[in-house]
Amino acid sequence: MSVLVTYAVLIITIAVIAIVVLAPAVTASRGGKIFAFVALFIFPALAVALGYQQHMDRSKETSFCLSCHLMEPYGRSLRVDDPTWLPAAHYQNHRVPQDEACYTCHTDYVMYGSIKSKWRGLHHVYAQYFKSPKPPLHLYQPFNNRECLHCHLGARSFEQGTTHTADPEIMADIKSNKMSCLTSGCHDQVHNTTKLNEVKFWEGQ
Amino acid sequence: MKFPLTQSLRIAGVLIAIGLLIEAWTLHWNSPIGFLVFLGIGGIFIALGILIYLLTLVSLPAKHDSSAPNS
Repeated sequence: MSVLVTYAVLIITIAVIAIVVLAPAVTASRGGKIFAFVALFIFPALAVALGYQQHMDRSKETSFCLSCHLMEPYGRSLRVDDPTWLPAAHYQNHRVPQDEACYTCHTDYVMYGSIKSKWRGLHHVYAQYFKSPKPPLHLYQPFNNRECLHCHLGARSFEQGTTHTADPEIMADIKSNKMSCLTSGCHDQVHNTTKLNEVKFWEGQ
Repeated sequence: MKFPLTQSLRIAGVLIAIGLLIEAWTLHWNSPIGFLVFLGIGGIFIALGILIYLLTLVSLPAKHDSSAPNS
């Protein structure tokens, strides 16, 4: 939903509320009561719903994640000039949308996870502003292969890859999350924020 | 503390309008704090305003039907 629609609804809502506030006598009639109900309940509820949707959409954007100072090294890791670095290779080659790069692989974080994840999100904001958290950050639980498989499952390069098919158990373990894509010695070059001083960066778009 | 109907409507309207202005302001932000200000501050103002309005509605005196026959 375009932000312009949200602003339009906000402006209309404030305008009709202003009518009720400045001329409350209009609510004396039956039609006026209905108008007041629309102005003070229906339109505000709609405006809040649209605003909430806008914020939820923005929370998926890469710039949203990187707005916190602590995430700056992770943003830089997307531009490392090394194809073995998984996030960089995905980001630079548009294997994930660049404007939603973080959310594409981290779909169950904070707002998008369980109640516990949402609570952690609040804690992260608190820590960002009132504490001094230090990188590197650690995952609360191992990275779930689901985040890789929601794109790679069914893809030819994945299903017919020589390493994946060397042993039938390998593929079964990958798909059942028994064998991690990231920590089994295969695709383990992820953000590596402690090594950013040792690498070159890609200056492209 | 009971307010006249018109005053209740005004208070409700002003609270909701403040909440909506806060919402419009947070739409310029692209950070978690914007989301929290929207929900935590704007949302409270709007919720309070709607609550006052709904309480005003249910507190309205009932109309007496003067045409009803006496029992």
